[in-house]
Amino acid sequence: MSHPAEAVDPAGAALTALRSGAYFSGPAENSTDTTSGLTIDEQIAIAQVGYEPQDVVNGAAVVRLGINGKNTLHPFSNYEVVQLSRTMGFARQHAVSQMEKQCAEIEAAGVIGVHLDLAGTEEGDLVTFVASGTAVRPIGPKAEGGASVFTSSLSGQDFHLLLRSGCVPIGFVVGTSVFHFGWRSFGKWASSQGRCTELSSLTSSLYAARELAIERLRRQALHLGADGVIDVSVLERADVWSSHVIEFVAYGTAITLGEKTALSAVPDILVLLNDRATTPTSTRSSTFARE
Amino acid sequence: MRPSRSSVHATAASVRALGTVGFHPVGVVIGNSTTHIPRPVALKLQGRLSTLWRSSMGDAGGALPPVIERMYAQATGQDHAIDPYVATYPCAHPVTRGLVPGQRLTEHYPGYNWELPGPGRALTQGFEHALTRLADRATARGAHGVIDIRMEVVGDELFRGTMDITLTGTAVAYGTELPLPRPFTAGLSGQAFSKMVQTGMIPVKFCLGAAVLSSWIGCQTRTQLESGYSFSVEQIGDALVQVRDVATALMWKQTDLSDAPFVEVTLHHAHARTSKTEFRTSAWSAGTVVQPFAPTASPPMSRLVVPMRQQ
Repeated sequence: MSHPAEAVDPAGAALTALRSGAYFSGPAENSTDTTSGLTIDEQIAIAQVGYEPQDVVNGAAVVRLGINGKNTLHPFSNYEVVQLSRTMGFARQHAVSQMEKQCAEIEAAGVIGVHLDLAGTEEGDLVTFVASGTAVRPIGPKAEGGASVFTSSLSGQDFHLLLRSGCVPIGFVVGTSVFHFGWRSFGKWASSQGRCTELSSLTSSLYAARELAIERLRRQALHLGADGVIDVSVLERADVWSSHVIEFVAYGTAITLGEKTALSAVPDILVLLNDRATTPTSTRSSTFARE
Repeated sequence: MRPSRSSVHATAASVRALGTVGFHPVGVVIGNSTTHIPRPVALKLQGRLSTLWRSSMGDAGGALPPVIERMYAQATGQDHAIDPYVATYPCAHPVTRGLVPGQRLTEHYPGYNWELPGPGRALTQGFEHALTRLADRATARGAHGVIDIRMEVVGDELFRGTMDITLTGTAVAYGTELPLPRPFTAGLSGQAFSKMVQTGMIPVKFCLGAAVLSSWIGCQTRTQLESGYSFSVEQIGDALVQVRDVATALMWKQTDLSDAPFVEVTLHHAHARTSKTEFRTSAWSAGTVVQPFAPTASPPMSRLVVPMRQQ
């Protein structure tokens, strides 16, 4: 079969088809009623590794942040607000699992390009999380037996690279921790006046909060049987419940090493001839240079 | 004849990419439509009356409140593209209505997520008018299609009052071929259009579907919203998923082609509490429907390269 790009005049053939309304119809088993949120580049990238888009899938969760416990926060302590961590974590996972459910209903293999509105949209006491992505399936006849669906925040290009490297995405994972950071005591505040000093208690608590979010992400990945998590980011949201409550959200795509051997994943080296030579500059020296 | 001067908002790279498949830009074309979407008459009052109706009737054997029935009867008479959407959330409280002393009868009633038939369809029609005007201007300039269409929607996020839709795109032409009866329209960049033609596909039409869902909250949702504890509010979460699905289904109905694939679909949603008893969610979904004109073959595998660039 010759590639359309090799045809003498592909655009002329396209206009002829548009004028007559006689489009090319492929084999009957290839269903064409697909919806894709991917760009054309992404579609080409996933087609090269044997996948095609099937449908756009959505999931959402709306959470009401109650007031129980809000007025009894310990004003001078740094600690995790467990109730809020659980609620927010559950809501995000619920949005993703709803998307997985939709994906399973249409018998797709998984979802790529998952966009989860992690920061949520707050209105009054309601926080909204919406997840959406493009369900994909292998090109060709449907495989027998329903394997579990995967979710991934990777773009089409990253999905292509991952498969070529012999790895497989298995799930979008999220870890959440919500911490309350209390006021310093009057004595500590007074003793730090006029001195440059590290706020060691706040530093260690911020560390603990971030690490807890990452630890929960890691545990979720282990639960899925992953070999690792890629594309991890940590998001920080202030003023979740009150001015002293901060939320940390770690998210990424859990992957596993597939059974297939990697395709040619050794990249060529490309030297750009129009590359500009950049001289290293020091911001500090330019800031403090006074002649 | 190829014009000597043309204004385009496509980038130089986009114009170069168009040239690889024989197209050239003709100029910028604009289509606009302003639509007035009236607020449903006394919907807030009807919502409150409906709460009384729902409390007295309970699930009523699956019967819908009269307001919804009446609106849907009118919508069916107007030959709408698809049946309006409705989902019921029955009372799930363990307490049987009226059997607990002191329990008010009005405290247990089902909730409904239902599509307001007017606003979403009015916005979709407004979009179609704007697209027709855009295509007419492209035809007048001898173009075969419009690519890189950018959409600007100005107005209330819940599609109330005056909504203004402006479409701006780059009209493109191919050699000296006669104009098409209806030029193709696409939200794709020049590069994406070029790659698509080279893989045997051609964009046909840029489509939009819009929908608005009203959530008349049931007793369970009301309890969750009034409780001091943190809860996941199922009815409102469902409404957000449903409104996006309904908008996408309406987008599908805007093309005459059956089973045609859509690419580069974007979704936008909004929601707000409009009264004590109602939430409203809105969404629009826009994408380009494409068709194959030749057997699509898998493109050759991309080469992996590492640029030797100093970071």
